[in-house]
Amino acid sequence: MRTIEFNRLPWWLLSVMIILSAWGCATHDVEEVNIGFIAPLSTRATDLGIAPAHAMELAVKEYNATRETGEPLVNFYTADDKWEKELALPQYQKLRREHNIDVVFISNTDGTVAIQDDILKDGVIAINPLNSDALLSSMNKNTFKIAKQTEEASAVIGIRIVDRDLKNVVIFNYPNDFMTRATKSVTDILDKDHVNYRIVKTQVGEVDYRDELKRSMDDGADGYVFFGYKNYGFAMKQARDMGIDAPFFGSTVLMDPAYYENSEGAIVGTECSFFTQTDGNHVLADEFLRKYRAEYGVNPPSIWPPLQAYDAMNIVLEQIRAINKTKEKHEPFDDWLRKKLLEVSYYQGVCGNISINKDGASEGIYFSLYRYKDRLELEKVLD
Amino acid sequence: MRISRLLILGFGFFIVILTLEIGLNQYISKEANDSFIELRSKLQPTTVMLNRFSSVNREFSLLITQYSNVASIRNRNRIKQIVEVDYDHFATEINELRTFDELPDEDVALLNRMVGTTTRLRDNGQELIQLMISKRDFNDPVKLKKADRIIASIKPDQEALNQMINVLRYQFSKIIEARQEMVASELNLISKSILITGLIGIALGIAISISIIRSITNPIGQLEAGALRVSAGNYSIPVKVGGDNELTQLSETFNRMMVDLQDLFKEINEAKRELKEEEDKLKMALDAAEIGTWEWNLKTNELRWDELMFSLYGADPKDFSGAYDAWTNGLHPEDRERCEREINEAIENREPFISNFRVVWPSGEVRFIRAIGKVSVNDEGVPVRMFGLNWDETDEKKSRQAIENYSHQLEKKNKELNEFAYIASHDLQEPITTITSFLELMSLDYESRLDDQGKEYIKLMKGSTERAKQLVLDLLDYSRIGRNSKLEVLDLNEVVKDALTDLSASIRSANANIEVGDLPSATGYASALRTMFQNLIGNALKFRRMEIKPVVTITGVDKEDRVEISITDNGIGIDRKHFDKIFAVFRRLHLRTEYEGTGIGLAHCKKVADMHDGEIWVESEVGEGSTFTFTISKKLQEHIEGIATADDQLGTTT
Repeated sequence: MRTIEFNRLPWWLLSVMIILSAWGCATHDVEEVNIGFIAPLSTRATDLGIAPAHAMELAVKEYNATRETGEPLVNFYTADDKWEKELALPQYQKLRREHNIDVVFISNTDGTVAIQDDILKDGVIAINPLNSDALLSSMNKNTFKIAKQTEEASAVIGIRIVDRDLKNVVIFNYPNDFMTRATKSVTDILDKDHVNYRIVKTQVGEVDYRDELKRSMDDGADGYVFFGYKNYGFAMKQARDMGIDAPFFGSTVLMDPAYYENSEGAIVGTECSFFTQTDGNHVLADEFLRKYRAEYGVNPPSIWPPLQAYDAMNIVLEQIRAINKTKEKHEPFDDWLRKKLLEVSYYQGVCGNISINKDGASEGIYFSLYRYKDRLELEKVLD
Repeated sequence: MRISRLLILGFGFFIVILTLEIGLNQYISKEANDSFIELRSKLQPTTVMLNRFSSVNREFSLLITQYSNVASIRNRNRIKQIVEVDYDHFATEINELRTFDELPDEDVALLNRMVGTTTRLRDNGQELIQLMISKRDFNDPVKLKKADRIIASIKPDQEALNQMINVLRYQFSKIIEARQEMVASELNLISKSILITGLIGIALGIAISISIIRSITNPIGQLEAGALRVSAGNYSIPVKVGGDNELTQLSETFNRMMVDLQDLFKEINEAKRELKEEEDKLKMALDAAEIGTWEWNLKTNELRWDELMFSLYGADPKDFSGAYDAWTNGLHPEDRERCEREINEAIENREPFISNFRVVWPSGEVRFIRAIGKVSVNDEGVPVRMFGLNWDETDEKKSRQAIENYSHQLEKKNKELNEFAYIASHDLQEPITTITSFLELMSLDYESRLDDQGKEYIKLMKGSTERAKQLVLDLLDYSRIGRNSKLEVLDLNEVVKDALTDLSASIRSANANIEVGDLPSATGYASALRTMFQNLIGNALKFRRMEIKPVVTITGVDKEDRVEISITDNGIGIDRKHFDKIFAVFRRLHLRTEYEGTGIGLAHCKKVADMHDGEIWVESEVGEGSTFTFTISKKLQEHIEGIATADDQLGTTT
């Protein structure tokens, strides 16, 4: 039998080249992405922190469970800012130091402003999953907002005041950017329709509002707007105790259980701007809430924060899933993710169909008017 | 055609058909797959998008039909959704449809118009919801008028957009229909190609298979018939297979094998005959030599003897049990245990069985038997059989015993003679000394009174007595050799060194060159061997050729059973006819006047060689030189002990 002899050197070289190129490809793949979430997990506004954290964790868990070869593992870490803007930067730096996060979600508007310089320097993409407003839209290019627009959501209250033909309202304003911006959104409408109003700037930690309430009563106020957090529950109680029976209006954060407790039920009847599954993609939202209950055993106290957070996280995860197909080898992570997020159009999430516009703000999440029916229970106001 | 080529051709054809079919199917499948993917991933989603676009457009139309709708927050949110998200999205999607190659140019223009219309609708919608915010706005005549104008501009755009969407949907439905037909056609083509190539393959496969089967089975049938004939012993009819393939070659090989078998059987028969003759000869030889054969099956313990074995053991075949015990029962009781041990060792070590033993005949007569045997093992190396020979050595043993007795008697007589020579020579010394003394006295006292004749007589008498004295001394020395000597291990280099010291004067006188090689050690008698070397080296010096420088070379070789020493000279040499005489006592080859000496030196050497159970011989050429060689047995100690035992036996038996 004739034997065919091969010159083995070229085969060896070819094999080595194949192995090296395979190794080279493997080493350039992104294998892990670390994501952080800075939110109020204690102290105050925990309905804006705990439930969104759970929703994001659920999204990450679903992603990791369904990811395939070549799709990176995603690790999710949380940090508690107690809803204090001063804590945002230290917590961000801690997440960077300990977990080298590539993406940070942050729910506090002031906190989002506080970490601006650092995220740009670190090449980290920041996403606010709760609020989107003009201020945030003016932040640096690495900042995104996948959430309702504060001005738009708050305008619902202004329109409602006008529609109810109120003439003289008083607006209690908690001293932070979000509530101040909400107040401005309402007063713009009131100004246009010539409705009298007075803004009461309160202090952080304040619990006794009787002086301002007395003055408002004396001024003949026919409507009370409480744009602030749980301590305004005391104000509502004090108002009703003083014999004020004028309608109450609130912001998007009334579903904090402490709010109800502080008001001792006086919060019932308050109209507010809110978002539930009926305002978004009803089918997907119900499915999300079912999974949420199965995972954590409870319903979220306030529905819209976890719904928005779930969509925000899934939009990011959808990009990360394809990172090793869409990202150039030497392209910085933040450049790649920024580009991909700006291309998001018509994302069909639990909140509805979402697009992201050129300034990094999402569109497609629209709040409606609700009324506080009972403890942690709202009903939609059908106009 | 060769079968291997036929098979390769057949399979090659199949592979080609299969490859073509696979290639064709792959190509058509890819085309169909591409069409299907495009259908599923582009065309159908586009249809879905257009349907949804149409639906959203109609919904927007309904929402703005009544102002009250705009006043509702829920409807406002929906309108916002449409103008801020949906219209933007659909505008982008419509824009991307330009990449469709199959769209005619007029449809591309249609796409441009759709994008423009959609953008206008979005802008007008946004203007409307920003204008009409609260219920109060619907009571404001200025705003209402403005709103009417906006809605008036929205409605034609909506209708136009709906028409354009319908046109586009129609176009895409046509494209989808065409693409579906294409996919169906391609799938049909795949099916047909598989069917046609499959049928062709099967038809050709059947034809090739039949051809191959026939080309193989027919010759095999002929070969089978040939094989049956061979098995019946018929080698004469060859197998005939036509064609030129492996089976033809096989049939030729088969025929050659038949011829070879025929020759082989002839050779086997011839060998059988020769073997029978050899067996007969061997039987005759064994019978003549009175050698019996035996065979013992170690597994069954069956022992088989030929007729002669029975006569060797004085046994009757009728009484023979045919077992191992039949042999041991015939052995002498004193030899039985040893013989059994020896045969067991032979089996255990797979070694030849060699033994001497006595057998006791039923009559009581004892016979000496010599036995040899061989152990046969199976493929696993396990002993299974022994076979061998027995013969009677009783007569031979008796004869050997008689010879040994005789030789020992001779040795004893020789010893006695030596004793006698010693005593005689010793006793003769005294009278010879007396005669010599009286001759001296006669010379001193009566020389003046003797005439010349008397003086001459006395002189001759003195010469004779001197020779007689020397002869007696030499004889005494000869008889003394080995007396009271002790056997010891000797370095022969040292023995030669001592001898050369004794001969130093002669060596200097002869100006001889003595070359001594590396000599081995040996067990022997020191003084006797020194005398041997002195005599042989001394002779070499004595019988030298005067015209050349004498050279004596002493070498030694250590052999398996003996040490061999040679002394070579370049002297006068010895005629071959004297070789067997020179070792006799007082034997001289030359006149006393030519060379001194009594002629006993080489007799000394012969005796010393005998003492060492060795030999001595000479090789020589006259005028060229001589080589004397002697040997020393390595079994000298056993030899001496044997003699002593024999002496003892002789002492008891004679």
